[in-house]
Amino acid sequence: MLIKETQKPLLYERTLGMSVMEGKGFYYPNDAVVASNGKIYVLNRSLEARGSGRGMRVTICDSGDEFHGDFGQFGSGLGQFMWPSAICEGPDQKIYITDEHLHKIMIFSSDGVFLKEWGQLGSNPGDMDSPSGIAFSSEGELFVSDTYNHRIQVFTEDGEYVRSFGSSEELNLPWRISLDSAGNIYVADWGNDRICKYSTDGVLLRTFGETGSTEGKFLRPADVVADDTGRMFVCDWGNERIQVLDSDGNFLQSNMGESDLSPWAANFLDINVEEGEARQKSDLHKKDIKYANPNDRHEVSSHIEEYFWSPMSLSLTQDERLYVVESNRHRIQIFEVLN
Amino acid sequence: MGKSEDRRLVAHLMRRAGFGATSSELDELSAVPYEQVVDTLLDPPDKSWMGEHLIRRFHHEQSGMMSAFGPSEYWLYQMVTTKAPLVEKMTLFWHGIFATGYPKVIHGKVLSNQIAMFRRHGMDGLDELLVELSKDPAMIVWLDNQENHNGAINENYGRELLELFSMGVGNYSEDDIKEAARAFTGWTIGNTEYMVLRSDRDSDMPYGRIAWHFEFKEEDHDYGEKTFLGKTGAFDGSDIVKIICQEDATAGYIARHMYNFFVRDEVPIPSWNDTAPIDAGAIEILKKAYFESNHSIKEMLRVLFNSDFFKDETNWYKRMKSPAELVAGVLRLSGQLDRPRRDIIDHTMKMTFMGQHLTNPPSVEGWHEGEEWIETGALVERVNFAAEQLGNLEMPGVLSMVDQILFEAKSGENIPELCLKQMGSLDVKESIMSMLQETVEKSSTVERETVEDLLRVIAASPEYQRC
Repeated sequence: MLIKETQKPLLYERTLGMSVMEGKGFYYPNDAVVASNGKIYVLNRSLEARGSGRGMRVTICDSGDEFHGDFGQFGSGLGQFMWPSAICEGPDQKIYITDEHLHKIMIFSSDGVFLKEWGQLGSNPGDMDSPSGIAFSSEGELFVSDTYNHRIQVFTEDGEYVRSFGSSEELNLPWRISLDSAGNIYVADWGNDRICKYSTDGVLLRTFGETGSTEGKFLRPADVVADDTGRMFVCDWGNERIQVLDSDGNFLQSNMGESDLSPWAANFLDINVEEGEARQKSDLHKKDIKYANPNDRHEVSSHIEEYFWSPMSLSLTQDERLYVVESNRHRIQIFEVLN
Repeated sequence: MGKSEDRRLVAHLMRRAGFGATSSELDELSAVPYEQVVDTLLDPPDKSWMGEHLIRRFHHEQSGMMSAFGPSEYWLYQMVTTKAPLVEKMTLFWHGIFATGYPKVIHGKVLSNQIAMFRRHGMDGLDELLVELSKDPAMIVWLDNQENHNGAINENYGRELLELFSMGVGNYSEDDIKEAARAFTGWTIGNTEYMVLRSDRDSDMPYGRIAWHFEFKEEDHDYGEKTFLGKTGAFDGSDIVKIICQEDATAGYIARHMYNFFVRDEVPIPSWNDTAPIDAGAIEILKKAYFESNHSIKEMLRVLFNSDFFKDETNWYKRMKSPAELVAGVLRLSGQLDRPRRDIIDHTMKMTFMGQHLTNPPSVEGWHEGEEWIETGALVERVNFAAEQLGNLEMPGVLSMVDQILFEAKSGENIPELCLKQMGSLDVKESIMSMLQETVEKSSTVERETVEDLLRVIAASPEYQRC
């Protein structure tokens, strides 16, 4: 009798982007949003900006590999970034960006014109200490991971404080945040190695996962998104993988990354013939490298280019694609999500 | 020895075997026998530090290591926050000797990996460390061993292994260099052509840096017989290391480096052949420890820290702190880096202005240390940095020191002496002590700001700049 193999939810489709400090490409991208206008806004943290802050920007492109320009720059002035940390789309196609060094949230138009910002360092209601995750509810409320205050704050779209939930007993340096279609809130509880699911009004409903590297366990999760069936896609950052869990937290799939060459990358290697030829002669998939610590996934990923290396953010789109932003590889791996 | 003498000696030990200690740390350490403190430094039960995850979450550049500064910033965090300071100190020791630099390697990740290797093996046997060094991808490219082929040797690594890394000039012949090079043929990195081409072009396209790994290419190794330092056989690189480590010159060379790093500034290394060691007896003691322990670095250190020559007060404050030692020590006291902060960028840059950009030494010979650290411009940078950090009440460590000083002063204790105690039981010259006393006497009431001024003066003192 044939045993029917269970369908895995994630199927690798393609890769978008490549490492470029200016123009068509990404440089240490740490978050992205696939906006309602069909464009993808990729937030690039770039280098630490000792001088000009070169490379720190938002790249605008689309899933057809078209490059539509970029906006934003390094600095501490209005609408400038130092540690840009998260990006999302708000009402009227406005783009919201957090900065975890300047402790503020900025609003831009969809074509990159700076509109407004708010936020200051502190722990009082409305203050922030390293905002690192950001998401809108369908009612237009803005949810922000207030990292070092170990809480989630809720603002109006214009930045007026509404309420907060979570505390250091519940959350430990929360990173990214998302909402499902029912309004439940999912938080990557980074320091506690788990996912927290809250009701819309901030009641902790369930937690998923615990510290570890085996199936269903996490090491410093960075992001989580849920689909309409309640399946959770977790960016298991410390384990350099994506995990999929069902709505009860049962393990469904783990994926270490499968990137091949994006059109931009392939084009670069076509033009730079010498590098392209040398690459052809190389074995970049070698799995028998002797590591000082074979369980150090960060180290392993630094050697194997197809693997995720510092995956930091997920976006689940209406056309059932999962976008995985990888900071250290300067690209986005795109997966088809199967039901 | 009285309690205060114990505390002074432990403070000396922590300045040399670590980056200095806070007053509360010295309270704890001076309550146990000195030998036990040494043992704990050598085998630390707790090696925790701020941690790679927290650093990488906020400093993305220190995760991907794409630039020349990521490795040094990451390492500075470790020096400042580690609970195993001697491990970091030995990492610094070996980086100074096996100096490997960014301008040729053009790959921060592999340089950072080399530093991590020193951290893992820095107190092992010398044989093991030198084999690891010979397989280290950054070292292979730094000294061109990927171009060392069977039938067409490249002598760079063989030469420096003997001259700078183990025996010192004058203890081997040109033929020994060639034979060593033959033994290391085929010791290279994987995907050599592509990795070296990317390095030459400083290319991080299309997907960022790919870390390097060691690869032994059998087909490129010279399996023939070699004669090296009077011994003959079909030696490979590991055999060469084993022979080197049995040499008296190697023991003496490593011992003198240790003396220079932990006891007293020696003359620069190029002068070692012409100038006798400051303390030949100390070198002999360390050599004996080397051979009796089967070349164990850890056992050499145990003998050194427990020796009379190390404890001898005439050797205290006779070493100029390197910029890394100074900056790490100041930041440990100031407590500023309680979490990842962008300030690490400025601090690492300051260290560079003082003359030491870690993982970017001036040459394969490393840095010229001792008094050369304080050429005029660098001295101003050093004094300003220490005074600005330690004379700043916004720093949590400074505020804590100041409040403790004011609290203890209520019982009538001498304020300058309390300040010196908080700064790590420091001894200063009479002229500095007088300056501190005058500052106190000029103040009608001693407030936090007065103490802040005193700490600033101490941070700028010659004794604080030395160890």
